[in-house]
Amino acid sequence: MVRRAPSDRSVDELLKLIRFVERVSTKLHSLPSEDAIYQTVCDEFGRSGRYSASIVRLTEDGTKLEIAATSHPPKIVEKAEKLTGLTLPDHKLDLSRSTVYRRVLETGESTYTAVEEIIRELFPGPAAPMIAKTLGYRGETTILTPIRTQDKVIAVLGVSAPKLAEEFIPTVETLAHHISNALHEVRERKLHEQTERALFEQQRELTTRTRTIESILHSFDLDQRLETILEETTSFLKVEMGGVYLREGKDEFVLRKWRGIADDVRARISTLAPGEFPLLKNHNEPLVAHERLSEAGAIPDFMKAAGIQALGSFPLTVEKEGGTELIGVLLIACHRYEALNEVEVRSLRGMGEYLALAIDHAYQFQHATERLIRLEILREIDRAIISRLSIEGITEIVLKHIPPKLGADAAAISLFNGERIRVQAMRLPNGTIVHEKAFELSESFLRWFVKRQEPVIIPDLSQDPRAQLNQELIRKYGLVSYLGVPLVADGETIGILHITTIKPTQFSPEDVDFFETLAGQAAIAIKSSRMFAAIEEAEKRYQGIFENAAEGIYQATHDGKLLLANPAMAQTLGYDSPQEFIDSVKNTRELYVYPARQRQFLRELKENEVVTDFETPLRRREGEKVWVSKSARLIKDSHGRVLYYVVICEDITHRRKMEALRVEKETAEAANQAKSQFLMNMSHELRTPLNAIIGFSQVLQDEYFGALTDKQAEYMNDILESGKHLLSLINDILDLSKIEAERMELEPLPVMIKELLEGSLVLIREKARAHGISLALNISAELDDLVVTADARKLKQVMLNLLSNAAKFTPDGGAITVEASKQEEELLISVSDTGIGIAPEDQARIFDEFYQAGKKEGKPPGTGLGLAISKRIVEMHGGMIGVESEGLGKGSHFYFTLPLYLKEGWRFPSPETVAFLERLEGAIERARRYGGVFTICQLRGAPGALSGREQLLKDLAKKESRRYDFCGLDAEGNVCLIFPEIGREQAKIASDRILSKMKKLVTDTELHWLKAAFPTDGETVEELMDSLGKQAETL
Amino acid sequence: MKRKLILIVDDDHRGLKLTSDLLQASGYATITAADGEQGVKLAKERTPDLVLMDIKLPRLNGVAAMRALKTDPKTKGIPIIAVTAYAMRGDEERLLQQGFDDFLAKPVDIHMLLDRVRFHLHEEE
Repeated sequence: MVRRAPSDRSVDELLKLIRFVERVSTKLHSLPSEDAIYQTVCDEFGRSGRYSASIVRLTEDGTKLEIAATSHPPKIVEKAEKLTGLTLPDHKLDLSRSTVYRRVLETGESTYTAVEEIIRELFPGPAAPMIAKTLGYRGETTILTPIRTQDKVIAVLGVSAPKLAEEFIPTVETLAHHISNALHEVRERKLHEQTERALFEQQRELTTRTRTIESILHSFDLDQRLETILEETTSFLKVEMGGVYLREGKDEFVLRKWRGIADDVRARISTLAPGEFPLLKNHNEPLVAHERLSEAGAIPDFMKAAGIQALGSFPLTVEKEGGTELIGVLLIACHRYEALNEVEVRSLRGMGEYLALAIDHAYQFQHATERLIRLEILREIDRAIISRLSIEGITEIVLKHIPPKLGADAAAISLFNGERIRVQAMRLPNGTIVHEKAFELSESFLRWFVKRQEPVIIPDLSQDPRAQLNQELIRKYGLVSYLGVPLVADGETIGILHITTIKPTQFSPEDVDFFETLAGQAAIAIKSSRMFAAIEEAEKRYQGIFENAAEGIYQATHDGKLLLANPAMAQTLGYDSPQEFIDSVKNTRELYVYPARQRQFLRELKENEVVTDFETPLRRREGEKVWVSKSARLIKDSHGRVLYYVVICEDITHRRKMEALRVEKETAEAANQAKSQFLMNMSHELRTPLNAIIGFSQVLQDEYFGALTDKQAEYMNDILESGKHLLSLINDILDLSKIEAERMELEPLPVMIKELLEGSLVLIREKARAHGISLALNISAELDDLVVTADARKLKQVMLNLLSNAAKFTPDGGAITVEASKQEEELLISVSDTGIGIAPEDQARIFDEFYQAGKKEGKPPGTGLGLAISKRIVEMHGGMIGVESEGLGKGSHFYFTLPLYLKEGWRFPSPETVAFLERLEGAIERARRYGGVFTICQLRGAPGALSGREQLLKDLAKKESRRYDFCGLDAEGNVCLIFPEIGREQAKIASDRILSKMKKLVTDTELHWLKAAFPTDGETVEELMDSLGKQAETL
Repeated sequence: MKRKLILIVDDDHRGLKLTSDLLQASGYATITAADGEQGVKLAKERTPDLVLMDIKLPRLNGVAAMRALKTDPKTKGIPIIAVTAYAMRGDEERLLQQGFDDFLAKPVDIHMLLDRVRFHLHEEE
């Protein structure tokens, strides 16, 4: 185009335009937006009345043209719109269909063209002219100028005016330039604003984050934190639904906290494996999905069905030693899809680390708390051990502390005692402790369990037949999982700790560990408790032994100070009580008669630590001596230091006397033995020559070797009779010696009386016949089969004695009658003769030793012993012997009785009575010989009260008899004690002890001690027994 | 009728003479020994019908001699009567228990002696 020089009118116009453009430019500052700028420009043109303008710009995608602004008044625009049926703002023109505009856009050069042309271009079609008309373009030409931003043409300014000239282009370009500047300004401002907003957002985010973290950290409780996390994130992101998953198993995430999630949805997502998280592919990157994304199936159908349109999973990771650990996932969901945008996601990702840490810390805290709780429980149990609780107490403490803090709903303890389960205590879910046998394990399970000594886990009680637990209880409380931990102390299983839960539980190794420790403590506590009980028991028993020992026991320090003594010790030394003894004796040295002995004793004890049978005399309280035998032992503590020594002290006074007596007795016995032997030899020696004398005489007398003259016969007879006499003397002397040397003992055996009597007659039959004396035997019929217990030999001796006496003192042609009859409780046997009788003054003494009644001429004298011996024999049988004679020449009637106790049992002096009498006689003997004393104590009750109780009393007395010389029953069945060497007073003290024991056993009768002391109350058996008898009468 | 043979064992020569004479006079044949050993020997040689044995004997005492004879099948059927001056309590029973067939106490009553001899030789009066 050729440029023409402007005409004057053109210059005017130009100037006007320049001024106009300047004015418009000033209005272009501080406009908010691109549109505002265009609109302002066009408005100014519209207001001018002279000009019109329009701005056409490229659409965003750069393919079309659209009208950004025009200067036409709205009414016109309306009209035009009605005309064309178009809406101007919406009208777009394909760039490819444009020529002029395109040219301008592409070349960036202004152009001067007709209005019609651009109208036609903008509005293709026949309506163009009308539009032009309607719009009322001022002028017929227009200048199109590109509007640039950042060197890119984005729009075209079209200005038209009357008398517009090509030369006006620079001016219009200037305006375009101003517009560009304004656009630039706007852009700058927008950028500035954006930055500010971004900063503001960041700030807000930071604040929110801080506040969130603060509130999360506010509580240490894991639960609370999860709650807070959910609250904060859902409100920050402005979503309705959120959930926090925490890792529970290796590959399992469990939904721990949620909000806003419908139940049915939640049920399906309560536990997820990492791969299942709809969006958690690479767990370091959160993935956000909303419907717009083309990730097929990113949002599961059931969620979509619930109206969820956006879903986000944010991993919660923590840096640990082994690397990054995924501890949980934060799930966000929303009904609107645009809720989760970049910014928010980014900020959440940033927070994610803090959240993970917060959760992790809370976890740790929870663990730490749990551990503290567990430690506390263990401490409590430790306290129980120290405080020596009973086993029940210990089990209660253990059970009290276990549930529910540690996840155990019910717990129980079973204890073994040998093979049996002895104690069972159970803590129910509601907290009460009962003693029900809930956990009865099967035998085989028990044994296996005990052997293993390791915990056993049964995840589902209903499925496992091993335990055979009390099904009722299980059902009643809904117990599901079981953990059994053996209580092991010193390698021995003493019981089982049972833990059960209501929820199905996998007991973690940590749990099992804790319970094992707990069980270990409990086992120790229980074992200790048992040991203490055993020790107490042993102590009691020791105490019992100590107190009741018959021997004296005392404890003293190594230098002789008394610590403890038992009653027997006090008594041995003549004190009334152990306390008196300890108080009175400052040092054991005082007790010794010979101090050197004490030194020796202690020396031996120190050297050997044990001393046995150390005999020494000690002083009693009153000063008397008492011989004791001491056995002692040093007691040391665990370090070997001497604590004290214990001594057992036996009173051996008695023993020593017994020893002395024994020696005496042995000597005496030896002497006796020698005597017997002597006698026996003598007997033999004496008899041998007599045998010749008597024998030869007899043979000659019987005229075996020829007849004798009368004188020879007479002398022969004298010789024979002398010999016989001598023989009987020898026999009698031997008998007497026997009686003296050894007690003549009875041998009670069953004897048939009839036989005995008949036999005795045989003995003198010859002699009787020789003298023409008749013999008769009258035995009453009831005695035909009578058997009595007696010493047959001795009775025969009696019979022989009586019969030979009878024969001796009965003249030829006389008669001897033996009679026997039963008189109540006695047997009466008599030997009567028609002999010379016995003078009254002789009758009383005829049984005395060596007494011989009236010497008779022609009759050889007897020894005077026969009747004495017979009397002795009869009396030993418990009978009585006597004689009746009306006088000289009237014959004699000797009789004796034998007691017959035909009641149950033979009451011939029972062995006990014999023993008693023996002892009594022995005691008398000794006392006489050594000039000592002794006492008999006899126990009496109401008459007859003690009968039938002999055995009882005897047993009791037997227990005590060690300390006394004798204890047994006397002839009447009374318990008697013989106390050697003590008088009445002291015997009383000693015997009272037995009495108190007896009194406990025999409560229905009063018991009394009667005492008779030798020699005060008597010097013979009879006297002593009489004395007792007299005392009995006064009871 | 053959005469019964009786062995008398006693270390008292007078007693021996007494008994022997008495028995002979009563129609028995006799042999004598003064000690236990001799007695046993004689008994085994001559198998008497009866033995009167003293207890206290030199060499071999009466009880041992009796046992020797009782255990020998040749002589065990011979009745042996103990004759002794040891007549203490229990001696009789003891001797009988030990194996003697009868017992007589010294000094012997000659009637008793004859009585017992006749009894053991089954010669009832």
